[in-house]
Amino acid sequence: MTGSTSSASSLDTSAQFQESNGQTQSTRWDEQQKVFALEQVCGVFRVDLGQMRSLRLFFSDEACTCGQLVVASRESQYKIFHFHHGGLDKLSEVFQQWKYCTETRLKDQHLADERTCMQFSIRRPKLPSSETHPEENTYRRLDVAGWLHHLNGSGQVEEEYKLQKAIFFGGIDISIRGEVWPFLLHYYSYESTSEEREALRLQKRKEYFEIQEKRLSMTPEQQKDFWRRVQFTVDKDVVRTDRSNQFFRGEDNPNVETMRRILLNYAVFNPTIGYSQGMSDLVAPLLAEVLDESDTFWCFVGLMQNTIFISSPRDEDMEKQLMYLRELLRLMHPRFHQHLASLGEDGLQMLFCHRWILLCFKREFPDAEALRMWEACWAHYQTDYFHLFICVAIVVIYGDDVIEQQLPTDQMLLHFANLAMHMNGELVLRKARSLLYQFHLLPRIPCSLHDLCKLCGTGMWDSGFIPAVECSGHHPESESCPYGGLAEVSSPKPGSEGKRGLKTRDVFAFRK
Amino acid sequence: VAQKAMLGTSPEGLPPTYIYKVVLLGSTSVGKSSLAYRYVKNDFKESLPTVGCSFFTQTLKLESATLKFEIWDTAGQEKYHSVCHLYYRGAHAALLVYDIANEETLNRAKLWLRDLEKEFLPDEIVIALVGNKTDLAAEREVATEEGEEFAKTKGILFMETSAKSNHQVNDIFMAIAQELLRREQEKVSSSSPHGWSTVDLVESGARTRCC
Repeated sequence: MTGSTSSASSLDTSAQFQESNGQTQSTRWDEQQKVFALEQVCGVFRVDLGQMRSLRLFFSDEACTCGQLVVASRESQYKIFHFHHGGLDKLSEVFQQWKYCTETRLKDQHLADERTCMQFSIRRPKLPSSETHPEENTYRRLDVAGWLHHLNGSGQVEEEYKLQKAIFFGGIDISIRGEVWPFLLHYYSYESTSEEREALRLQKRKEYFEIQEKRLSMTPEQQKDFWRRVQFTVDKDVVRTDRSNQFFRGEDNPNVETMRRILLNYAVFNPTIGYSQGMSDLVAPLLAEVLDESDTFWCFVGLMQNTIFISSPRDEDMEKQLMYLRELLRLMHPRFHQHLASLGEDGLQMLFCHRWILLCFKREFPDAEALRMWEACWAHYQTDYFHLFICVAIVVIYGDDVIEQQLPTDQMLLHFANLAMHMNGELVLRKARSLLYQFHLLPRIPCSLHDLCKLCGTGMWDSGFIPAVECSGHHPESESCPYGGLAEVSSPKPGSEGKRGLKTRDVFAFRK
Repeated sequence: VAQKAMLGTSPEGLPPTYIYKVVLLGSTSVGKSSLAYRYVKNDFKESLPTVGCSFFTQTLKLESATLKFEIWDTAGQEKYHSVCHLYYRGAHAALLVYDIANEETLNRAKLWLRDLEKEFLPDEIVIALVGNKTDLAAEREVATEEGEEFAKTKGILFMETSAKSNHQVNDIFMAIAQELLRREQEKVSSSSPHGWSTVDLVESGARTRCC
């Protein structure tokens, strides 16, 4: 706060905040010296509220007593205080009073523009009922009993749609992930019987070892080339992937070697994709749940084939994902979209979410939460692009600072990068499901998003209700839109709209 | 896009503050993230392969100016290559990093240089060739002279570093800082009021309008 830093300018981790507010100037200096000494000795530190970007409380329990207090500096550095055993509610009251005071004072002093560094907000663990999917909480986590319920006498999945829906809402219990994931990853088909699956496993195991044989019997030149293109990077990556996971921990862990073989064999199996960095992040959790080397390999093959979002980081794939995401944001979070658009091309490239999409949130959330997101995406319930709804949910829940403070591109990247591993995955997932539901209810959707729910089996509009598709006018001039007809000829769309369309298309073109 | 916050001296007579975008480029596992981490946090840790792009800031207070580095750390894999040009757009400085224990990575760094030369005029960007991992002296494949010679012919900065043993990491960033400041002063003395980034903005604006 410029000019008036005398009051409420420092915040201790201890409860001195309230007191220091009322202190006179003379004792204040002594107090500060004392605090400074404390800092040195026991790691107590202060946060200058004048240098703060935001102060947020994230409650983690229903009663709203436990959770995290997150203080963000203007450089998007975060101090996070965990309240495991209550007390955060008391702090919240204090802050509420303080917020009221500062707001009143700011109003008095006509310093409305100063608000940017004084954000205070509270996040509840539950979304308001108006913001949750109506079927939320109707499904329990899929456990052994539940899973068996979906299978008939010969081990076939009776109604795959029901299973997918159950997984989408409830997730899968850890104990049976290894059993169920192969279905979600299209290794086993839903209509296969237990017997057929056993036969398939044997067949596929044979195939797998043939692939491995091929790798091991390369000519020296081939070997050299393979080492340069693939093995060199794989070798470096596997030893630094998921090392905190018990399954891969320790020196000379045989599971690391298994992961390495799977990745190398995959590069032989699919030489066009070969190995891309990030694949080790994706294969590691599969191996840790599926356990068998050959089965994991084929699950991984399915993952790479059937989930568009990680198939390969080639430009056209990424560009398509980003285009959908931009359109979704325009529709579901226009304020944020507006902010991106105001930053021009650089903003619309959304660098901050590339990793979210490439690794399906693996680096943004702790494993337990990330894997729940994977399952929800793999369920392909109503859409093949659920991961994009998760992206929107993150932006809706954690993007307020970005809009309020009009963060430029690089600050936005920093903002979201610093949030990695500090976001509430359950909350995000619930919000994402609710966003999908809201999308489903739209009476009209732009043609740009028509394909978003078209690809998967039953599709989104299985209930008979089909929204009208409207041409949004964002087409390259050479292409006509089946929903707008004459988009390329006259199209009296406002000029700015048309221009923006071109701009988004140009997103990956380099300047000049 | 990173731009200079202030040009010239501020009214209070404080040294000016400049913001520079610095990008780290190079093959996988040459130590780009580790260099950034060492420079910003003065620490070394095993890092995950970078996917997408990460971002650090570091403020450098010198007598004549305060420099704020925005350090963009990119994925080294070739497959991300075409996405990567997004990252180096608008960069003021680039570190081309290779691993002294891997000849191939120097060749890759040379390719990166060729890319940069296509996109930038020589006075638009400060480039440094960085041979990292001097702690792996026993496995050295690239002689110091080789990197040095190449850098000399190309007129770019050169240094060998080790993020692991904290060898010359600060030095290379300092060398870049000084070169940036030198160019800043040159610009002032040549009395051109526009930095190239200003010109660039106008150009890209024009492009958007005409197509």
